[in-house]
Amino acid sequence: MDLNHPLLASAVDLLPPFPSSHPQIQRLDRSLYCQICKELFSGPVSIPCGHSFCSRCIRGSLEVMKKCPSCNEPASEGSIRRNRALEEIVDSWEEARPIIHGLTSNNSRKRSIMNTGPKNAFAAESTKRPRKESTSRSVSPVKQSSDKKEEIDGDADDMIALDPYTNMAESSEDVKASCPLCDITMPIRDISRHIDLGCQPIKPRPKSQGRENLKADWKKVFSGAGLVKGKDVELKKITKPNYSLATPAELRSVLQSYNLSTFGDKPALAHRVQEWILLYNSNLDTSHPKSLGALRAKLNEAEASRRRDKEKGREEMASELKTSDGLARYAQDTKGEFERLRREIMERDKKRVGSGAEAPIEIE
Amino acid sequence: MFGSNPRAQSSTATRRLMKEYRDITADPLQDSITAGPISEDNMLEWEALIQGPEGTPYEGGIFSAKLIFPPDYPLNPFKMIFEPPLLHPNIYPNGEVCISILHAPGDDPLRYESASERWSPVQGVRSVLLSVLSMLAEPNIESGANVECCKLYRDNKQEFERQVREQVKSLLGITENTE
Ligand SMILES: [Zn+2]
Ligand SMILES: [Zn+2]
Ligand SMILES: [Zn+2]
Repeated sequence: MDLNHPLLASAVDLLPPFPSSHPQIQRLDRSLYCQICKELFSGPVSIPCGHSFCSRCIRGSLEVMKKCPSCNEPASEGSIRRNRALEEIVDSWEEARPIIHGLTSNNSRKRSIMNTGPKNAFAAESTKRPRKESTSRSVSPVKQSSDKKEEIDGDADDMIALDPYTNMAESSEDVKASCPLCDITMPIRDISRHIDLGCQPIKPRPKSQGRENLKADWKKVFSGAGLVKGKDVELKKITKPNYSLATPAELRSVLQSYNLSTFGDKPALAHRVQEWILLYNSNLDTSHPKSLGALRAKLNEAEASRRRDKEKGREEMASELKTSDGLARYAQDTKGEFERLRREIMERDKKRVGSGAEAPIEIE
Repeated sequence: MFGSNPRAQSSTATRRLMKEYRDITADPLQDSITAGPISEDNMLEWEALIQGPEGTPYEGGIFSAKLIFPPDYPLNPFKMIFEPPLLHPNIYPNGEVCISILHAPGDDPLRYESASERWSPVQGVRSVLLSVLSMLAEPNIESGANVECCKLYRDNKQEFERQVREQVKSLLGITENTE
């Protein structure tokens, strides 16, 4: 699989790892990753055993099991405490990381020029992650661009598409897409308002011009309609309803009170309420809380992507059934990169034939 | 839908799997295991290749397994299915691996000795594949999946090993034909 495949490269803005020539920095870096999402802590919290996770991650995990995922000690949502020191450390590390990464990879680049081995196969993958959504400080555009500048200085070769929105559709104001919730097609710029209004049709607005607007429109859909106001973030945690006892009407009224879509059957509604409470409550465990609009957009995005995943699963299943011969499909599937890895194993295996005790089987 | 916006494509599960895939590629498990998504557009389905551990009847074989991830991964574990099915006490006749680390925390609470072997979201492809490798070397007939195979393993280990070696050979034969 090609990690530079445009879809993947921009779908997942992973932080570039540190070269193995700097094990101490690798260790430092790893210690700041949540063991559930395997990314830098976002809104870190601790539970009684002393393990820390992102608030969102551990809250999600505690819905499934009332234990620490790392050590199995009992834990409950009520025992979650913010870890402010860890948050400060992660924030500073996020700022320092590109600089330090630049230093370490410059060194290893020099080294790899001398070695010219295939060792550096992973250098190309270093896509720079834009500032984590969840810790986004809603800085002004001016501040942001000066940030970029610094990072470019420290990490020039690793700068690829800092702005995730630059890869978007080329054509401008007429671009349409379907709502992630109800599938009705409409201009992209209308989607967030449409969702905010509980999936109601939106009257056409006068056309605007150019890509800039398109980008801004997508930004609204995915980062919360620009409603960032301090007062927008409320301070009390939501108490969870009993999902099995709640009626669809009750669930709908919870959703309505937060201006969320009330579209869907009971499981869909319950899932939306549950996801919303997770997002909402974990948003209170960070120094960089998001606006409710941003949370809503996040909820919609998560729901849409989950649904896509499910549809993928169904498609896979369907095509699985069509090919009765699993082996033929298997052969079909293992192409490209994976085939290469497989050959490597085969090659190694053949090499062992010479010294092998148990006369391994010849292939090809 | 949203074909023009790649960011919309990545769910929590997809993100986490991308990360795992990259980590496995950057820092390979062992010489004897590889794993990765089958296609770029669906991160929820991987293929793993495992080389039979030395000193076991599986030695010399290369086994392919499908990893199927649930949409709420990593909260719930993935499924691992050997294709074609592999003869082993802890592998169901349909190829599915039955190993404690792949069991959700809620599943049959009394069957396994220690809860720490269960799936939890801090586990991942890497830790599971390493467990599977040691499972190949040391079957656990306490929690068998293939009853016949468990009996055979317990009562006539030599015959069990012979059958495994036969299977290893024939599997490689099949692989040859499809290449
Ligand atoms: Zn996390
Ligand atoms: Zn713990
Ligand atoms: Zn204090």
